[in-house]
Amino acid sequence: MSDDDRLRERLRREADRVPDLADLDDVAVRLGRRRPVRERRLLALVALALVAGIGGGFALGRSHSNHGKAVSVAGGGDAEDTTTSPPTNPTTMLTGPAHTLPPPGPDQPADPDTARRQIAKAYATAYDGDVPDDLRSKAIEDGAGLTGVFEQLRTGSFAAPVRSARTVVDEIVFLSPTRAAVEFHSRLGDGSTSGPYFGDAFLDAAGYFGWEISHASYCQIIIPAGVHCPE
Amino acid sequence: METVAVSGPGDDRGLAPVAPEERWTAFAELYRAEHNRMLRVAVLLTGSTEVAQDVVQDSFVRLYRRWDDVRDPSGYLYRIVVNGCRTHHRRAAREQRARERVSRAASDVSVLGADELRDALASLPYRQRAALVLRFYDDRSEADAAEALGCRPGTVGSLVHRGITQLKKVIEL
Repeated sequence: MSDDDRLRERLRREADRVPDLADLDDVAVRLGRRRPVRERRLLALVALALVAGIGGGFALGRSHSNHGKAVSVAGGGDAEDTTTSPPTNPTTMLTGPAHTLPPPGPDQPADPDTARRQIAKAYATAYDGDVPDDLRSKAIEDGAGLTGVFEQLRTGSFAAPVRSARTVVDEIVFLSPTRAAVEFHSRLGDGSTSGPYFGDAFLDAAGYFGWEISHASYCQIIIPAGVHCPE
Repeated sequence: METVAVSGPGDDRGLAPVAPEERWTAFAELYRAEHNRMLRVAVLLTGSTEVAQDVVQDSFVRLYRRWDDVRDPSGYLYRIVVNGCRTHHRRAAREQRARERVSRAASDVSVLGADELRDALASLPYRQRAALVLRFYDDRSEADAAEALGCRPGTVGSLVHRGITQLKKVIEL
């Protein structure tokens, strides 16, 4: 065996000792705003400790394998009657803090299946853990101004569950051809679920997804996680 | 909706704006396919798994930010990983200490432990080390290695020769 072959063999043996450290979430975090490695590890440890039991669960209404209706909604408060005509300004919450979805409006979208797909896509983009900021911001009204909020969520006390979240839209009710109320929950990386949550969506034909989540709706869901959401 | 036209690895099609969703999907696919190989190369180049992971992750970030401008994502990624490791090399005073440690041990190969290959590689100038890793671990051609290192193919051959000669002074191959 030549020196070349022996070196080749030794390099391969050495490389085989390298563990698989693929972490796409970490790339997504770095695409937001970079923090030193040591700081990120510390934050992850703090989040892990909180999630492990010190904090008693995810502040956004976490429920272990319990997707029942009794779980309180982020923001708290009593259910409001949302059956009246929705406001025209999308920055106003359509559904308000609620425990149930309102009934459908008299007029529905011409293509409700497409609308549902677009809304589900917008919600997954807004709340899934591993979405880059530039894409996430397109799912939310005035989302470009929320990149600081995304960063707070990724690195705050609940970074671990936030980063592992997968969004499941449970039900969509159209209040009009251009407005909808949405019930959804999140599946977290440890197998638990968080929610249900109630949000809204409005049609923005020029928008990236067609339907967007209102600024107020998005903020109301995430504020209990301890982040500051700008007006 | 923006135009969707993702250039895959090695794809030399014309560039077009890529929708963020499509960009992320294609990027994630490349990440899953390439991360482990890039990490291994980087570990051999830096001698540190932690540093290598940091270099590789940052390289993927740079790739994503330039995704729409890059014709060959895999090739671009490879170059910036190799360059990232070189940047680390320049900054690492630690490496100088490793070189001194290995030099002291060179007279007694048995002193070197399980990490002797890493230590021996760390004792080489970066370009010699990179030439050896790219040629003998990653099976890159001289031309590919030269592109990643920013030199002529003939220089790679010279670096390999000098690298092996130097390595044999430190460890038994």
